[in-house]
Amino acid sequence: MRRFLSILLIALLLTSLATYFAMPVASADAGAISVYQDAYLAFEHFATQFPDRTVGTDYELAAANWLAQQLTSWGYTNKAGSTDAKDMYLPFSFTYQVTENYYQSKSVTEHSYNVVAYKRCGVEGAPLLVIAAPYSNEKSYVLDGETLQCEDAAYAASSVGALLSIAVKLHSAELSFDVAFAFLGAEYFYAAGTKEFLSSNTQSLLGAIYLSEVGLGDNLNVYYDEVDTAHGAYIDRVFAKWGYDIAGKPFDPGYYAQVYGGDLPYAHVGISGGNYFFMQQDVPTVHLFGYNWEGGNASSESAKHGDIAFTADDNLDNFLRLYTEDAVRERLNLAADAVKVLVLSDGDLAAALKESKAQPSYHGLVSNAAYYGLKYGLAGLALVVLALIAVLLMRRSKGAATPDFAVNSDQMDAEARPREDVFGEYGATIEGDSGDVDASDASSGSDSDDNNTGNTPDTNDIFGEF
Amino acid sequence: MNKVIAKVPIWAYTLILMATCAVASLFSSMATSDLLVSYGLTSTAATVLYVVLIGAAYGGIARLLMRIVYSIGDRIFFRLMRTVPDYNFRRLPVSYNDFVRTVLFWLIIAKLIEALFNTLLTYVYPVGYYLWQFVSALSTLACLIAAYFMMDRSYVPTWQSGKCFLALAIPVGIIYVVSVIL
Repeated sequence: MRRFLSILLIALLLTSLATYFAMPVASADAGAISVYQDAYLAFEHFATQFPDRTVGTDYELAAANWLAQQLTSWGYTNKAGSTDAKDMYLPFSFTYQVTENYYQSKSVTEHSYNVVAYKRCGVEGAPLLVIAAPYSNEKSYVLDGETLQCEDAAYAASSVGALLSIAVKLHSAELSFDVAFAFLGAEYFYAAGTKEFLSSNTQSLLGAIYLSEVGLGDNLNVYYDEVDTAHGAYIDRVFAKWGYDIAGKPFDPGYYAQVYGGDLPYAHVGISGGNYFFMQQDVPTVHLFGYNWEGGNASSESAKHGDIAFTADDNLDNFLRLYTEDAVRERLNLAADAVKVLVLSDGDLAAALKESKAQPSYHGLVSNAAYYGLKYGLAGLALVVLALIAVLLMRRSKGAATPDFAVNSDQMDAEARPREDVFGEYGATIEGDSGDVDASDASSGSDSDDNNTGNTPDTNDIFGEF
Repeated sequence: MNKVIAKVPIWAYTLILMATCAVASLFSSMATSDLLVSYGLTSTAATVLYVVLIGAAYGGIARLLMRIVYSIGDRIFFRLMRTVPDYNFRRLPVSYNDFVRTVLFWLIIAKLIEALFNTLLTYVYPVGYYLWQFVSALSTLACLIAAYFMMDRSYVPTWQSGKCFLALAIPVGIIYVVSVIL
């Protein structure tokens, strides 16, 4: 018995030791990178070190380089597998239309950098999940003679903080799909960074999680698509299960006309970011953003104070003054944890995203072909319908009896028909207009609204109602 | 029905059409805000002013177009009836006031249908935006045709009915096609 107990004890000890050493290697170096597990710290460091990340400047390059260094230090690689930080930020050029002096439009070419780090799952042909956030700003950008002074601390830097935290939290995870952490430049310019990422990507996209202004607003919101989706239903269940307080799309999301070149003729805050361009390519998308998305005109960043995104007020001091450090910390970590939990659900998330991708696309409905097809089709249809009715009535008319015109045969000169005082209400008078031959005029006289019930065929003086 | 329609003065129909159009524009938040967003006018006051102006413009333009349609239709009818020696049979056999009342009445119906479909599609299936435009234009066409057949045509003899419709359909068709394409 004693021997049995000894063997049991040794077995238990060995099992415990085996369990301890079988823990992921990541836990060994977790201490080294834990500083950015707190999304707020990552945000604060980034916003403090790089208040100026103006598109196309060396300041932006410095910020991109810093991000790349962080990502490579956590073991991430670039698209080709390089672990060199310099290979991780990708320069690109883009052109956009700028309006000057309120009416003159001209093309401007700028350049920027995307920082994209890959976490490979090791399976050949595995699809790619993109987790993206904007990082550059427009602090010293001159537009129409004015320096924009916009630091994008709330809009971009808070999203960067959350994304860095996610990258830290996922660096040791084992997944069945590849993950790209995309820090996108020039998103202010009609999502130029997103467009560049999509045009240079060659891998099959499983889905996209887009973070924007996550630190802003009264609530953290999630938006999936214009129609119900499988991944949306799945993610809502996950968030509910974990008790995450993340609001969905309200009944009236506050529509406005599309102004930045998507194929939808309208927009709202849910599709106002680069996420829309993923949606356009039928990539299942999750947009996480901070806002007070109450619906309709009531929507704004916050019910307590004015909007600051994309203004000179969007700087670190002002942002923390309005929203407080504790609230921002809580919000950023909520966003980071929510994404981490989603990604770690691995197979279930992948299945939901694949199911969404298999859903029929609605983009045909909002395509140019649909637009012009409906437009010209409708015009043609109208002409056909009117012509058909006219032909049918004409046929019926042909067989009908006509009156004896001999009674009025003295009025046969068609050219002698007097002109009507059609635009008399505008002050024009036509001489000799009183000699119209319509006998009904004598009885109708001046046909005002109230003395003519419409039963008299008063074909003259048709503007007498005024 | 014609007797009921005839009891209401034309100016009242015009005002109702203006109000209906303003409401339809208000629900059409996507289309309405096109201009507002372009000029950065996003306040409630700007929206209200905009929809009131849209309503007034629609009502005013509709009335002007009715005059033009009737006037041109009358002349077309005169030409179509060139073989008829009696002038009394060469003028449009429908009363202008009756024409205006009935068309205004049915345009109000068309605008109500537009507002209903717009609201439904906007909040239930927003990507059907062009579908809404299609339904709106189709309902306007249907209502214009209905207006002709609901009009008091007691002065339209059977032998004139085809040409009477054609005379009005030509200007209406041209204006409709131009407005749909624009």
